[in-house]
Amino acid sequence: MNPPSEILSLCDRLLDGQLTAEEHARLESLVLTDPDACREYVEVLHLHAALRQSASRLGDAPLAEVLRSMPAAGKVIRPQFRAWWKIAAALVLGALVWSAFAFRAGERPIARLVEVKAARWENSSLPTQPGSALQRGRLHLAEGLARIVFRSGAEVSLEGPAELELLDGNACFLHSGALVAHVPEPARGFRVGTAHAELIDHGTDFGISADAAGRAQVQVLEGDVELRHGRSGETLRLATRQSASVTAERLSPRGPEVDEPDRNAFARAESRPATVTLTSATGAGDAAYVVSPNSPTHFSDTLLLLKNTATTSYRRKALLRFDLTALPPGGIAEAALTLNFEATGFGYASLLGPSTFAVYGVIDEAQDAWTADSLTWENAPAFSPEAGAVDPAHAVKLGTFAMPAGVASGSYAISGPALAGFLAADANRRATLVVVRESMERQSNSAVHGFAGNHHPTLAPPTLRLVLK
Amino acid sequence: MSPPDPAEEFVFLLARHERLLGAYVMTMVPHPADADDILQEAKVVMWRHFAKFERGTNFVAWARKVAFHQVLAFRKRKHRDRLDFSEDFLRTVSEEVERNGDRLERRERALHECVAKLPPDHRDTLHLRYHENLSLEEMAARLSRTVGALYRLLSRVRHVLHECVTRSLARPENESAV
Repeated sequence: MNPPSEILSLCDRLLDGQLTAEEHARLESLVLTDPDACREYVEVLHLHAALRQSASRLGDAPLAEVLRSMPAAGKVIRPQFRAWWKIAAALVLGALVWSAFAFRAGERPIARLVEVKAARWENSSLPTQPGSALQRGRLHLAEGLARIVFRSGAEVSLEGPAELELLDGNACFLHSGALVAHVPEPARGFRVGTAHAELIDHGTDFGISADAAGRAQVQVLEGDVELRHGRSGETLRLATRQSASVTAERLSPRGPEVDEPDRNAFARAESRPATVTLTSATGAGDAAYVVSPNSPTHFSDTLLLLKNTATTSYRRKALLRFDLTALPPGGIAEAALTLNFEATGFGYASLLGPSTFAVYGVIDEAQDAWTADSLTWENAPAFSPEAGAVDPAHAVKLGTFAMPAGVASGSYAISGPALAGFLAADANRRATLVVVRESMERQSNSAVHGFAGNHHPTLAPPTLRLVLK
Repeated sequence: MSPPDPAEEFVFLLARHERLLGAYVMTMVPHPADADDILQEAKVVMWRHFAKFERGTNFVAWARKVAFHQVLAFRKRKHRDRLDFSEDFLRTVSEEVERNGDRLERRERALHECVAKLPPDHRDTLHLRYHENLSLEEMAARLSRTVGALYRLLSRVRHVLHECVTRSLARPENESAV
């Protein structure tokens, strides 16, 4: 006989009225987080209930006899039928007044978020607190790890960055990113959709990743999965240590390979044009922020502060200069600017409404020669007294980004032809950008935003990612 | 033929599924007296609202919903020192029962055989605990043994039964028997 599991021991103490508050909490957490523990708990309690129901049925006959003589569930014994009829009739006639029964089925969760590790979430339509019950909806994990247990018992570790849509108690759709799934026997049939194929589990552990274009890779760690290709209808069975890749056109099985799934294989396979990463700390680059007059306190050495307020003091804007001289000639096909925000400690984030930010490119090249030390509110390139704007005669808008209410941290980026075009057209190979908060603060005491400058101890400085022609 | 009498139909359905419902409530409310109260209330509610039950649909599922609601209502009503499970816990357990109704019924049938295989002193222990509804203290007095010894014995008997039932379900002939 196996030694009793922790659940069995806890159930014993529960049933004999000896459970302490700590054990009660432990039992609850086990059942909530571990599907096997939940199953075992139900089995033990069910056994207990069955013993109790059976035993109270007859007189002093030995219990085994009693149990043997019991009807199998589903059969009705007549004498009992009569007894029930009397009870039911009594209920009908009874003078008891029961309050109207407002029936509420309640939305049943389809999964549970059991654990997160170093997780940062983007806007998700679902709660992201560990322990949350999850309904149908999307989880958008920017970084870190999140463990989700579906109602069926299927368990998924989502690896950020990833976007996962929960469909029902035993199915999900991986929009992008990677996950590793453990599917216990009762959850057999667990499905993971991707843009071009659906994976149906036949009792296994597997990993799957999908890139932004919907191309997917599947590795069976142990067991057996089936892939169904959307366009061709083709199916493919994969066994332990087999893998396959999925594109819009086909399913391609892979032979045994190094046990190091290469998630970037697709991107590498396409001979991608050269990309260049530039930060404002590179070469003649610089990063600084300016503060409106009569604002004697509240500065930061590591963050570039942004604030748009109705008062004339304590307005802040940030300026960035990128040194483009190192770029090979030929032009810029794509460009993206990433800023890493962090709480500044000034004001309350919870008082923030939704915030929008704009990035401008300074077109007057005579203004590119600024230095962080000599910069003031008024002499800043494309100066405008407005906190949320620049002088339109000297700058063009390159893009905007938004933060939800109450948020003051995270990575934000702008990209697009306006930015790429501006950088490509820059004649003196020094590009100055102005970052402003367009939305004015809703109430005083709300947080000042800030993103990492060139001297932040951990966060990356403002970064341009350029794809060259 | 006249349409079926709702009272008769109700009694028939309830008699058929009452044990299952009782066990369902106990998984969420292990205290026997509370579980009995809740089941009784649930039956009353079911009868009063039996007209809303759509004939031909799953009575057990409907009855479980009613019983679940009664468990929640009971929790709200009683402010006691007894430890209560969270609503999340109740939902999780309730879903587990719902998903595995057939398997639990099979387990119950297997239980009869497993009890028959127990040695006599184990059966006596079960008899006192479950038929005579004695507490561990009362059993200890009756059998002149310590509470600790009885606790261990009962744990062991439950454990043996649990394993026996699980093994018996794993045998292929019991796989799909109904």
